[in-house]
Amino acid sequence: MWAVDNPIIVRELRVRMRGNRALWMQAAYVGVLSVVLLLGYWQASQRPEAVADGQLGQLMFAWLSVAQGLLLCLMVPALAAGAISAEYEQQTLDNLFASSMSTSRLFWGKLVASSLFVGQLLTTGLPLMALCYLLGGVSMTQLLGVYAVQVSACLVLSAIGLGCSLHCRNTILATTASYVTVIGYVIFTSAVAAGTAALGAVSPLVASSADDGGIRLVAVAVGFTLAIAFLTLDFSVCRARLLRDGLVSWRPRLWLAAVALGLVTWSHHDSASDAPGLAVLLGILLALLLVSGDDGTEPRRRVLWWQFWRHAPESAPLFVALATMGMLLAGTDVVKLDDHPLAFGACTLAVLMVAAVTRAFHTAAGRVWPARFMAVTAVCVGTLLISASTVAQELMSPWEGFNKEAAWAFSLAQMLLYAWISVVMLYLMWRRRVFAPR
Amino acid sequence: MLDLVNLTKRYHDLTAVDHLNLHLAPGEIFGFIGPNGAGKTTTIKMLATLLRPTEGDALVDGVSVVAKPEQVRSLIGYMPDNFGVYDDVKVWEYLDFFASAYRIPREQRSSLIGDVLALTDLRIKRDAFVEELSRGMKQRLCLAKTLLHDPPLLLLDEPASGLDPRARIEMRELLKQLRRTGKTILISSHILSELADFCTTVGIIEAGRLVASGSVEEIIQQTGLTRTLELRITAGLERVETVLREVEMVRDVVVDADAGTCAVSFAGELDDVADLLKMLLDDGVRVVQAMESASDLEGLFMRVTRGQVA
Ligand SMILES: Nc1ncnc2c1ncn2[C@@H]1O[C@H](COP(=O)(O)OP(=O)(O)OP(=O)(O)O)[C@@H](O)[C@H]1O
Ligand SMILES: [Mg+2]
Repeated sequence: MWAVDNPIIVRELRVRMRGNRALWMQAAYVGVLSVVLLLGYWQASQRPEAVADGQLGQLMFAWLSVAQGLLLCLMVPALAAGAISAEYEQQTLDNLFASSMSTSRLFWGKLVASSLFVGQLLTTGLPLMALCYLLGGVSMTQLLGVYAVQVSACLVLSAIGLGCSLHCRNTILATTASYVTVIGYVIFTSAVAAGTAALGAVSPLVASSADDGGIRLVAVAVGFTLAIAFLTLDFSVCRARLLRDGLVSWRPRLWLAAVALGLVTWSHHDSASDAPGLAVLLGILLALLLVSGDDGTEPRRRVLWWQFWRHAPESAPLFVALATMGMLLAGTDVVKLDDHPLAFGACTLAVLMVAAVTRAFHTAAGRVWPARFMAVTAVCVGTLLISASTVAQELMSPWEGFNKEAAWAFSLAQMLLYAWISVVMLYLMWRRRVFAPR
Repeated sequence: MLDLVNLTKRYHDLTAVDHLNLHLAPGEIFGFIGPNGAGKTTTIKMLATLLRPTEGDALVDGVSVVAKPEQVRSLIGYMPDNFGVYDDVKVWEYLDFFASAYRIPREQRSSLIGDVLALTDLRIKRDAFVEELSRGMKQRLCLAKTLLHDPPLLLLDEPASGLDPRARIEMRELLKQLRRTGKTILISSHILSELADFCTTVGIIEAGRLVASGSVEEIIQQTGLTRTLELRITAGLERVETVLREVEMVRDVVVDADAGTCAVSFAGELDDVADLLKMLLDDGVRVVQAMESASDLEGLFMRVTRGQVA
């Protein structure tokens, strides 16, 4: 598979969760978002009429998505700016450049590696977002839209950081340069978003405006953002090729990419189907699950299987998210869980994604074993049972506004997902080691 | 295996490497010797496709480093002089990283990593973190990395620098072992005596130009220098001088009666030493030890690089 075969990505997966830094960053991320969520909740609760209108979720969602966008703009450039310059400073770059790894493979690896941890942060924020969905007033399209735009924005931010890292042979300089560029990018896209209704969601900060235009707007915004990301990346690759292989080929590519970008922007009014939302989400999940694996190189600690927190210190942010959610739910009786099987399912899915992602990193770091798999499976089976029973209940005595098709689709997706997890689990149990050569 | 054709590198007005011409046959061990700033690293980096020559070209197995750098990279194993290693991974993970970079299939990697670790004597460190290794071990790890894809040409830039005498000897043993695998090796150093005994040929570079090249013997001949033979004698020391003065090749004889040793300067080949010794033994001088002085190679190096030989 692409990820397993790229040494840079594999190294990132192995190394990121060693040590406590990533854990603290993750905890800080969820902490900041939780505080923002509480602020949004507090602000909304000043106006009881808003709560009655079902705007509570909407308000909190707007707060959260802007806060998440800002956090990303702050963290991603810093994470990516060291990609090349730090290797230069540590004198490991010569070994890498003298190897027969192609320049594009190298940069693709660097881009994915610096986006992976950001992806993990994004999924850590997912339960909080899902909470807004649970409170009502936020559509699935909007939730997915914000995530799609922010994920692609992360690629742009990473690509910018990477480019600066290649140009500046000093990490501090590269970080400064990428912040300056990112500020330019945010101002530019916000201006575009303000000026062009068709590109309303293109800025990572105002991505939550996606609900006005639905899937179509999201598709255009994501297309636009991805095009910029790959344009930026391609520019760096060409420059590195020029340095490393002596090839001058960037001009035609640059023009081609610019034309493609123009076409994407121009053809935004082409209709887009509403179906692919879940498929994309599932795809991401599956990819993340596939890169996870079991590597028993470290001695197992004497911990009982049900002691989650001792097994996996890095799932602490997950617990923070869950606790915040629980607290908020305890303080609100706007909804009862039973009334919203879909929303409840979405929440569990979000939590599950966090578990899957942390697990992928954790495994790659080389210290995971079947007990945690069992824990994850227990959660899967439990939520599956609950959602199945609620769906069954609603089918027997439907309440108004109940969307039967969506419920079925969701349950099906959930089941497929769990089936997939089980398959992967069995496979890993059987093979024991994915990352370690046998 | 390796051909340098007028290889030149200029930095602004400084010519770091100046029209270098060289031919290495397969299996040859070439010692690349020169003082600081002579242009060794610059040359090796051009061969490793990390720097582009200003002029000229180099062919690795017939493939040009200028025209087809991607192809050259899989033919060479390069060990930089100031190398860094990823500190946060384990030894096997480090090697796995490069095995994957060289697109070695996953199922072959484990045994391959085992092999290079065994060769570089790092097997017990397989699961240790790289940062826990000593400098010598890191150097051997870096060498292990260059062997992963079994390249026919190794470019080693001062592999023994910064090592203690013991680690130096271990490194030398390792290189001797590599010589037996039939690889062509280009190895740089400032110290001639360090390379003299296992390189098939050496080249002395100064200010970007190759001032002498060939086997150590040939260089001594070319430059008209003398070699110094140190003899340890238990009986008949007083007769040595008279015997040796008659030999044409001998330039100077210095006897140290207290230490029971004698230093003989002579302008001949290594093979002539046997004749000298036979003459002494026939005359009843009891020679118990005869060795070429290492400091002599240093002297040779100093004289060659000072511009005495052009
Ligand atoms: N990037 C550069 N820019 C300008 N000059 C350089 C650069 N790299 C090397 N030089 C110059 O080129 C010359 C050759 O340097 P090089 O590093 O090849 O020497 P060396 O033989 O490897 O020396 P050492 O034994 O110290 O490693 C030196 O005069 C050096 O100052
Ligand atoms: Mg050097």
